[in-house]
Amino acid sequence: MKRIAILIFALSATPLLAQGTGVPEGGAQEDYPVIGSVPDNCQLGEPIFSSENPPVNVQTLTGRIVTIDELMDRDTLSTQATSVELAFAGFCNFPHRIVVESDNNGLFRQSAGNSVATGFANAVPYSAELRWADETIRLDADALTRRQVRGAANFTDPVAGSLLLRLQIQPGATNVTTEAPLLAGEYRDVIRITVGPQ
Amino acid sequence: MRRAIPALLLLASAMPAWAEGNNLGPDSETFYINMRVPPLCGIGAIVGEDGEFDVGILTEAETGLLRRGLSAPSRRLQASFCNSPSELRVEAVLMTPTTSSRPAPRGFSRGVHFTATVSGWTSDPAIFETDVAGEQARSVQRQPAAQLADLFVSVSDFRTAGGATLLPVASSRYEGQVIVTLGPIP
Repeated sequence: MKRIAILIFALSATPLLAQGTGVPEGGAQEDYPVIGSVPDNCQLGEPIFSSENPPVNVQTLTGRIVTIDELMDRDTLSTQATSVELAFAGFCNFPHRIVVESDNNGLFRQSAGNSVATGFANAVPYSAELRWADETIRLDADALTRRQVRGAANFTDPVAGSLLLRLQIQPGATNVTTEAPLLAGEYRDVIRITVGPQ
Repeated sequence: MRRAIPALLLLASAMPAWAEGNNLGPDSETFYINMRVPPLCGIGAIVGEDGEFDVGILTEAETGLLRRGLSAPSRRLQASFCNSPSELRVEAVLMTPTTSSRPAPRGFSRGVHFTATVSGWTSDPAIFETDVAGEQARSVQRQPAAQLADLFVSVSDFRTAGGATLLPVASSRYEGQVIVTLGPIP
C-alpha cells in the first residue's frame, strides 16, 4: 500500500507446464520445477508538474507541497483562477483500489479564532480530478462544511503509468457567495491519495 | 584281450549321451547361453536438496521490475549412468503465474524466461533457453562411451518475457520447469 499526501498551501487568501519430448527406450526423464513469487506491490513516485497542462497561478512544487502564487485576485479581492496538474510515475501490479481524500473539503483559512466578518469568505472550494488508467475519480471539495471528503475507484487489472491529479479553483469561488472577498491569512488543505488492496 | 577293454571304454565315452547302453565314463556336453544386455540409462537422485529450484521473490520492491542476479543453487544428480553411447537433452518452460490466467495489461508481463544448463555428462553442457523458439542445437549433447557420472542442473539468466521494461504481474507462485532426458542413442 502506498499513501501520498499532497499539501496545498496558499498565502493571502499515489505455468503453463509442458511435457518434454519423448523418452527413448531405455532412457530416463525427470522434471524439476522452477518457482518464485511476485508480491503485491503499489508504488507512487514524487510528483512533477504535468507537461500536458501547464499550471496556472502556481509556480512552486516543493516535494509534495503545492504553493498557489496568489489565491486572491487583487482587483476583485476574491479568488483568482488557479489550476495545476501533477503527474506521479507509479504502478500497482495487482487488482487495486485508489482513494483520494481531502482533509478539509476545501482550502480553509488557518487562524486562531474562527470569527468571520460578515460578507467575507474564509474558505475556497476546488475540484480534484484523479486519472489512472482509463478511469477518472472526481472529488468536489465544496468548502461548505469543514470535514473529510473522499472519492474512490476499483481497478481489476494491474496498472503502470502516470497518475494525474488535477486541481482546479474557479475564479471568484468562495464558501460564501461568488466573488466574496477573502479574509487575509493562510489557506490550506491536505489531499491524500491511497493506492492499495481492494 | 586285456588291452582291448580300455580301448572299448574310451570309445563309449565318446558316444553321444542318448547312446544306448551304460555310460561308464566321463561325459562332456556343451550348452550355449545367449543373453542380451539392453541399452539402459538412469538419472541419479538429487543429493542434499529437493527437486525445486526456488528463486524466491522475483521483483524489486521500489521499481516492480525483475530483480537482477536472480539465482538458485544447482542440483547434483548423483551416479547417473548409461551402459551405451548416450544422448543428453535438456528442455525448459518459462515461469508463469499459477494463481491467475488473466492476460497481462499494457506495461506488464506474465512470464519470466531463463536458461537451463546440464553439465557433467559431456564436454559441452546441454543448454536450453526458454525464449528461443524451435530446435536448439545446444540442448542435445552426445556421449560416445558408456558412462557413470554426476549430472549438474542449473538455472540462470532470468529475464522478463516481452522486455526488461515490463513489470511482472503479482502472483504468490510463478512456476516453470526444467526437463532432463538421458537415453541411449537411437
